[in-house]
Amino acid sequence: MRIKFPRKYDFMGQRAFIAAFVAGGLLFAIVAVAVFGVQQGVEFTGGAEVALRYIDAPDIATIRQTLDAANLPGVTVTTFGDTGGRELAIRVGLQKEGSQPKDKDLATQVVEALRPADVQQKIDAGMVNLNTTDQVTIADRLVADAGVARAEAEAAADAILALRRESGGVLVGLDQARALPAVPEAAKGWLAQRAFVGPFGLRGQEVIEASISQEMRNRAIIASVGALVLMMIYLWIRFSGIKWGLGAMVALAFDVVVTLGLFALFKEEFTLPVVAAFLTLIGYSVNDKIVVFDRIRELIRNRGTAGFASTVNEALNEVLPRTLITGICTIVTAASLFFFGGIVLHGFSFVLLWGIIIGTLSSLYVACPFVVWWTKWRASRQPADAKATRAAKAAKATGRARA
Amino acid sequence: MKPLHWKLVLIAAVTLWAIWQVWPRTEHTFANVKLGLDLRGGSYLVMQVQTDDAIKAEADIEATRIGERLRKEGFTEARAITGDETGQVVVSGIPAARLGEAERIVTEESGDWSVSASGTGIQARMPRAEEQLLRDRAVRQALTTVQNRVDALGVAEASVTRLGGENANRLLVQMPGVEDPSRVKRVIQAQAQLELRSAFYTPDGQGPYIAATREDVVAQFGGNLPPGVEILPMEAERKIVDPNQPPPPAQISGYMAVEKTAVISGSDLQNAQPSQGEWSNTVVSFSLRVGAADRFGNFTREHIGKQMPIVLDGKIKSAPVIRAEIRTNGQIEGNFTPAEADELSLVLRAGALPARILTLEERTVGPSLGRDSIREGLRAAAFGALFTCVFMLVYYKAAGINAIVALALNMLILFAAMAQMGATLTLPGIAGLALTVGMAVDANVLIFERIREELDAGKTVKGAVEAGFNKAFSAIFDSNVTTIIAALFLIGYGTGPVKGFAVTLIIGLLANMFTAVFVSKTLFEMILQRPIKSLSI
Repeated sequence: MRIKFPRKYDFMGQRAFIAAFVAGGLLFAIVAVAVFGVQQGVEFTGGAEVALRYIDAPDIATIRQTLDAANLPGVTVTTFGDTGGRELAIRVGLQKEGSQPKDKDLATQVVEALRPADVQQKIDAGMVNLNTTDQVTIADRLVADAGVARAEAEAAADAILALRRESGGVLVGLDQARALPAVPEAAKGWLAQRAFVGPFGLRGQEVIEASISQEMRNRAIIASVGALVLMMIYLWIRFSGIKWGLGAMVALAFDVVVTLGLFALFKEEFTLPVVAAFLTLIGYSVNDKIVVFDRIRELIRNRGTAGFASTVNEALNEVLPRTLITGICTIVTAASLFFFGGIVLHGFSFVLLWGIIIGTLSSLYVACPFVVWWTKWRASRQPADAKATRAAKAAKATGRARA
Repeated sequence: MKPLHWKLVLIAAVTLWAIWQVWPRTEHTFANVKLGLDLRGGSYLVMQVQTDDAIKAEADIEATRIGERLRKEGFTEARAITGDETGQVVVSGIPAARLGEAERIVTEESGDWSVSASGTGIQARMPRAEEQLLRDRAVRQALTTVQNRVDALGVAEASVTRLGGENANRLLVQMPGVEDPSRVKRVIQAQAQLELRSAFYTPDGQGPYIAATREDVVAQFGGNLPPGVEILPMEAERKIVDPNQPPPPAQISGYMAVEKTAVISGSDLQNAQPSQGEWSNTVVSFSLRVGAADRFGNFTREHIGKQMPIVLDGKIKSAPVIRAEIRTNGQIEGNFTPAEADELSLVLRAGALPARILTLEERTVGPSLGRDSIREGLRAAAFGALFTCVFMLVYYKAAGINAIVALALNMLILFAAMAQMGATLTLPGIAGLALTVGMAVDANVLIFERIREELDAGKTVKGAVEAGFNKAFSAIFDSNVTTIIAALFLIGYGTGPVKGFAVTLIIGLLANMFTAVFVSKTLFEMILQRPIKSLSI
């Protein structure tokens, strides 16, 4: 199978479209970021994030009120995943110095605040909540309260926790746990009397102090900017001209800014894995630019620098089939990650998907137009005689190349 | 052998090595590559050792020594205290006329500290080199202590490592499978600075000095504390309702004047364990090492009838009256719940921390969440890969097989290299994987499109394949090398997750240059051994 291309698209001639594409993209991104803001993850703001899974979908407003009443600052509650509102992400801002006792971390405070009164009573009465307890505690209590042998108790605790994992982090009832073959008779009685299942299980938590969040933000910025500059220098050297490095940089900056705009518009959360996604988008986009530049370099080698814009056009037309085929394969893969990859990969695959689309377009409509414009601008600034000698040199050089 | 045979032998050898590396053998891995805590579930803590504490402790000792020496030399009013700056001792109460003499004594007593006199005071400062040494030692000691404590808790496969460079005072604690790190954190951070001290008694036997507030104790001394004495808070008894639940934090019942110097400290302990006390309450019993036992025996014999405060992390847990000479064994009473006694014994056995430890960063991924992200991520990646393979076969026919083989070998080598290096696959690492796949597909597409162009230009099959690979090479080389350079920078400057991305990417792209160019071309050469008129591409 093969798609036939007419090979005569005038990419560089569509000046109005290029201008509209660049200006529109940037304008959109600036407005989106200004209006919606980029929601940063706790690793960059400091604070805590707790992921909970409920047995029954809770009322978000009530949860927010409960947390506010517990004097936790900057509370946001969102549902995520396709569990019908059973899965919650709760974020809490940084605590003001000395406003709360320091012996409990923020995540623990959130979990304790959300504990309903009846659960608190059961815990006060010495009962064990199978949905928030660890293996060690269950095993210890089985030994101490129910007189189960240590090895058996540990096996039973392991089995109960494995069941909790299988059930997505929360047990719905005690019956399942009692039915486990690893749970001995003595433990069954204990489960019925001394254990219960609370309304939610803990899926994950993060607590980040202010000092380190600042540091992480700085390091992420330094790492990304540094990587960009190194790429630019490499292109400058390999393609012997700063315009290639600069053109790629300008296009990459465009990719990042526009993707960030979409990121803000769809209210995705900016976390450390998302930084990795942005680096991936930069990697993919620079790859695309190099393929186009490489073809331009080859054409110039064969026929000289005359009619630069039309050479660029020809190169773009020649690599168009490759751009399309690679684009289809990578976009489908990224879309598959975005739609089926699960909540953890969501923000990350969002950047990947949009990044590939924008990165491909920016080769055509940002990087190449920049290089063409830069060449024209340099030429217009050179005095006539210098131009003449350069032209003579170029003619000689191409003469040699042809020979 | 023909060159082609050598190439095939090389490819076969690399493939066999890769299969050997990823052959499923170990648990908690994906193709023998360790899974990061974000994928596997577990707890990740970044902790900072407050090394200033260790410096201050050293300066405290130095101040005590200098003060005692000066008073012995006839400077009755001399006072040496730890200054506000780190590692500084400030001496005051020296008569102006004898300042020079005192300065000489301080210089002599403090060894290589830099000493300067001004007005009525003398300052001594710890040399920078010694300060560095102390900080370094504090972190290494903290690392060992934390490792011991985590091990004692029975956390399997836990690792405690020290971060490098400017973060050398930070520890990274990784605990796979731990779902609730609060217990571990409490145990790790417990300072467990245990000291048995003497309550302060005047030479005529007056004391101990106890009052409701710190100020009241000072007032009992007439507003001035004698040297070598400090005031510590005493913890009140707590009512323990349920021995299985942590009781409320203890209230402060009062303050007591105690000697600063410890008779016995945590490092003198040989063992510690929870046991039943006199009134069947839970206590922590300890036994002492040989040398310390002699010291303790002498001290208790001389102080019969007097109180001996047991100080834990700067608070008096209890202050029993010495009834007889004690040599090796003692008990700490403090209204402990069985769980608290258990934890205290554990940390006492594992050793005290030389400095406080703060948790800067804590991430816990429940195993259920980690499992979901692997399962869903794999499913999505598998779909993407399947689509790409089918597309390649439809669009490039037989040559598509070539691309699929190259892509599969690329992934195989990537995982094998990661398994061999002991690298860890994390969520950002999967991003690196995605970029590798994208660039690998692109390399094949570039080559195939180029071969088609050359065929269009009327070249023979052999010539077209040769030209296709040659001309596509510079683009593939440049794009891979650019990305590798950027990734190398990320390894140097990025934080953990960004590094994980970069490591996967570098290995993947190196493998890509091998598979997309070398392996793919060898496969073409194999086909072209027989003369064929047209290529299925």
